[in-house]
Amino acid sequence: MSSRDEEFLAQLRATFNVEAAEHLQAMVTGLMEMEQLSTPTAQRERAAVVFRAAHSLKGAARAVGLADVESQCHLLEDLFAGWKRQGGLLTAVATDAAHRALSTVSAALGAPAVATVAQQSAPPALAAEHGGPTSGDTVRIGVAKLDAMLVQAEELFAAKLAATQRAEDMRELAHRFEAWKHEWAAVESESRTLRQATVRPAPGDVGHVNGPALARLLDFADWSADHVKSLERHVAGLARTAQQDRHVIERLVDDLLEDSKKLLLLPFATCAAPFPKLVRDLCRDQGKEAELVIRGEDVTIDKRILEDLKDPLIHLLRNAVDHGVEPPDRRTAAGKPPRATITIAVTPMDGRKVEFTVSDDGAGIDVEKVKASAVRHGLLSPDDALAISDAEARALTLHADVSTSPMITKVSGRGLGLAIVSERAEKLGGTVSVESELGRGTSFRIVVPSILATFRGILIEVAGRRFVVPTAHVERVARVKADEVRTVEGRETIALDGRAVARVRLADVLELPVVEGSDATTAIVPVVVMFAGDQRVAFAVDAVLDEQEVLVKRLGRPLLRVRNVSGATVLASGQVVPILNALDLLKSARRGGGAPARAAAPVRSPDLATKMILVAEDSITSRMMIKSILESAGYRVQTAVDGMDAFTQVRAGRFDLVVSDVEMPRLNGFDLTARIRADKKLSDLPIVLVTALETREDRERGIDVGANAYLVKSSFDQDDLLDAVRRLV
Amino acid sequence: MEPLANARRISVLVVDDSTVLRMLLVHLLESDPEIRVVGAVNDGHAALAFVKRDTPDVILMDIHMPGLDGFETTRRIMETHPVPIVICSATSDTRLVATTFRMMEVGAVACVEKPVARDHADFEALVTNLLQTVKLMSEVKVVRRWVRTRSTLASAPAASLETVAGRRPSGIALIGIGTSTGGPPVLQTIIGALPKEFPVPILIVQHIAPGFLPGLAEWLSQTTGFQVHIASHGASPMPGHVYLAPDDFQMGVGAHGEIVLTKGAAEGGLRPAVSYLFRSLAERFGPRAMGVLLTGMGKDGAAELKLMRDAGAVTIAQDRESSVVHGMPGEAVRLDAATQVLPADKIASALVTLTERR
Repeated sequence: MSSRDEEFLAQLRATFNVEAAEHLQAMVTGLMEMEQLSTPTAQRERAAVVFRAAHSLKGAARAVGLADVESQCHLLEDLFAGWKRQGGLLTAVATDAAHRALSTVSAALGAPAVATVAQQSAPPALAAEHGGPTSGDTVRIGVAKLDAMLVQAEELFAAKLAATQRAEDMRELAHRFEAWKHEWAAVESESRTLRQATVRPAPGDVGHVNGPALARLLDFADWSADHVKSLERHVAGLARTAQQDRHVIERLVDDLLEDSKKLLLLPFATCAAPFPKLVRDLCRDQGKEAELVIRGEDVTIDKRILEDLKDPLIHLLRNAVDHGVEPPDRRTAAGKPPRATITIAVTPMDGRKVEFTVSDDGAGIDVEKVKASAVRHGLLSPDDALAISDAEARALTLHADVSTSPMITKVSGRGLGLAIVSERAEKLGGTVSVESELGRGTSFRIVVPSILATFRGILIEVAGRRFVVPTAHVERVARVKADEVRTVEGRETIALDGRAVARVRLADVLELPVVEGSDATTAIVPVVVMFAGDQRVAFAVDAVLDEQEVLVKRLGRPLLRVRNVSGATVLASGQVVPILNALDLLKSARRGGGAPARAAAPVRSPDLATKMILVAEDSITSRMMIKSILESAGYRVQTAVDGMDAFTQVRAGRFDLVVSDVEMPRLNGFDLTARIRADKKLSDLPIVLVTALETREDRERGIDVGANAYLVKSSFDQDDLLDAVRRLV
Repeated sequence: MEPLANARRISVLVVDDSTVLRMLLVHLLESDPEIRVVGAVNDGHAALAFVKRDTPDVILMDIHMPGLDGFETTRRIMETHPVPIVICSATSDTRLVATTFRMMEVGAVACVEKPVARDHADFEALVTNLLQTVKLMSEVKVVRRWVRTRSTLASAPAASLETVAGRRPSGIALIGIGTSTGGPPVLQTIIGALPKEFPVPILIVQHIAPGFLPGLAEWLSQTTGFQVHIASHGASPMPGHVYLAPDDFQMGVGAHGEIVLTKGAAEGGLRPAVSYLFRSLAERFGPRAMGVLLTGMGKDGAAELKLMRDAGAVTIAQDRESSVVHGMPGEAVRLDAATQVLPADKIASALVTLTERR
């Protein structure tokens, strides 16, 4: 077979999968409706629809050589043809046979892809297209194509980062001319004087000077000055353009990504389609009766969220049938209708959130059994079991290992299903809760965002490497003095907000080799406090660098599941950096990833009167970091988000020292310093500049404007800062 | 001959509601350098709209489609912008084949089976048949159909007898009918108009895509009320019964009038061939047989109809006006093989009259 033929067959097969999924859905839906309708005419009509679907699928299966699908469809055709002709009695045997055939076909087809992008209100089999591929305002697009385009749109994110970086670089470049201008201004007058001297020596001019040579040199100096000025104009122009480009690209990319995300909105109905049959089959297997009611089918949700929630919802449905729904005789004995009702409801909530509820009117959760199971698995001590409330006990069902099944069946009993529900919900940034009343029913509630938000992460450095941790799981960033670390039961803890929080070294958790000469004795260590659910752990790192928007790239084959790592991203600098998995980290930490407590190094405690320091810094993380460095050294700290804000506060308040970044919007650090110095009342205020600019020229500029100390971020050491502050304050 | 590059390719419109089938049909058709697919639409309305704008040489038409189905679409096209229509049907179900022939009643000229997968045993044969049929049918001149009512049995005009100059038909023992393109509706017209107690068995060779024959038999039985069989070897034909030559066999008659099926050589590339049947009838029954050559492409049976006439049999050829393709009967007329040339709706009465016992 030629490769062209193979390509064609692959395409044909892909087309078949889409078409087959529709026909299959039509048959399943039609058959279930037939079972519910009571009038023979209505049943016959349904049967005709289903018959057509079976016939079409049979033909298509034949065209792609799927003989078993073809023969199952033939069987279905016969069944439906019979029903089409005479309607009337749908025997249980016949409908079961039909369902089995449908299940076989479904299995043979594998998981079908959802084809339509636009909202469907008509059942798929009857969505007749008139004319060519477009009809009215909807279009059919293969999911694979859509995904491919969305991935490409995401790649543009890197372009955005690069544009930002470029604009920054240009700005810094333009800035460097400042120093030159400064120097030139200083010598310009002298150059003029010298020039005059070559023409007309004046008294006081020293020594013999080779007039022409000097003149040539002066000419060159003048020419250089002009040249540099023109370069400066040029570069300034480029910097402005780069900035404009950056804004444009930013806007375009953000808009594109925002719109792309909207494309991914699908109605809940697409996810819920197989649920009725699932419930029906489960009930049949267990001899129970239940009806599934679905509400909110039209609510649109991000496709990725739907995909992630599909399994949890299925678990909840299985759970409802297995545990919730009682056998019909027990129900009638309890005064309930023999047919249970299971409801899945999807409701949009404020703030772009969506609530999924799976409820049943079954037996409810037996709190005693839950407690017993938890005690058995060591999750709960017998005393606690008595002490906790019913609500807390019910929440235990969401943990792995807890089950109220007396024995493990195919469906239940292993205690895993519901834990997956809570894990998934949390992964999406949502919550799960459960309510139940013994004998009346149970209700599980999952609240998740309706669109996946952009991922934000904190860039940290540990053991000489860089990582990103998800901001969503970071409660705070803090600086902890070595002597604040207590040891409790062999574990290191620190006090945060009056509570003890376990502290581990991230390097240990990640099993990284400790870099020589690193912080074994550093007095103050930054920690990142991460949380999931109600667990918190403080991870000690070497440095917290920045907080930013980050494009998540999932790991591909063969790295399907790597402990502690959930993906990777590319920084603006081009460096590839792993993204850490918060849940894994917390788990690893709990298992004692940290080394046993080391003896705390002795710390100098500075002599303090309560001095007030203003920290001016536009990056949140840096600001917080500097603030906590200073606070843990005993100073009181106020913060400002940019130069103007700082100047206003300094004018209004009484500060003993200012620590300021240089690169800030509205008023940068140099100009802030200049202004402070210019103000008669503030001219003596000590100012420490902390900046990323590290050339000699920048330092000198800092000194020129009157800063008292100039610290460079990349070689930043908290001791340097504290030293400088101590000396100056 | 003009080189192929300059020759106009046959333009085909594919009508099928299944995306998979459309894709496959287009692929198969385009693999033939003489064919060019000019459109692939998924329902009848789109087909009608297409034909209005741009008439293709042939239409490949599915039967079962939502909205306007194949039958209705064929009818409307043949009434407004007639184009040769080849029915593309899944034949594995004899129940459903009836519609194929109903579509022929309203003007479709041929039928082919829907393609199967490449690794299927019948793949090659089906594809060859598909391509050949499409190409052949593109040459058929079709005329606008007027809304037709089913023809009723017309009494035989006395004039038809007078043309049989001087011959008194001695007891007719067998009637042989041969037909190809456009045959089924005519067969239905003829047989349907015969009285129940028709005294003579009828043997028919209908050229048709293999697989459609059982459906044809079923459909003819249901619509005419006659018993229509697929002929089996050694069977003695019964009066008032109809026997269709099975695919890939030559059908003739034996010494005692029994049906003989052989794997004899194809004649003119055809097996079953009308020529074989007519020759057998001429040899065995001479003046006691009747030969009827109906619409069809080619020349199969024309010369042998002459043999029958020369052997003393009454022979009928369908006229040009009522024939979808006047190839076979036209050749017969040219060879002067027919004692009568009749339109389709007059043939039945001729048969009745000629077989009446006097």
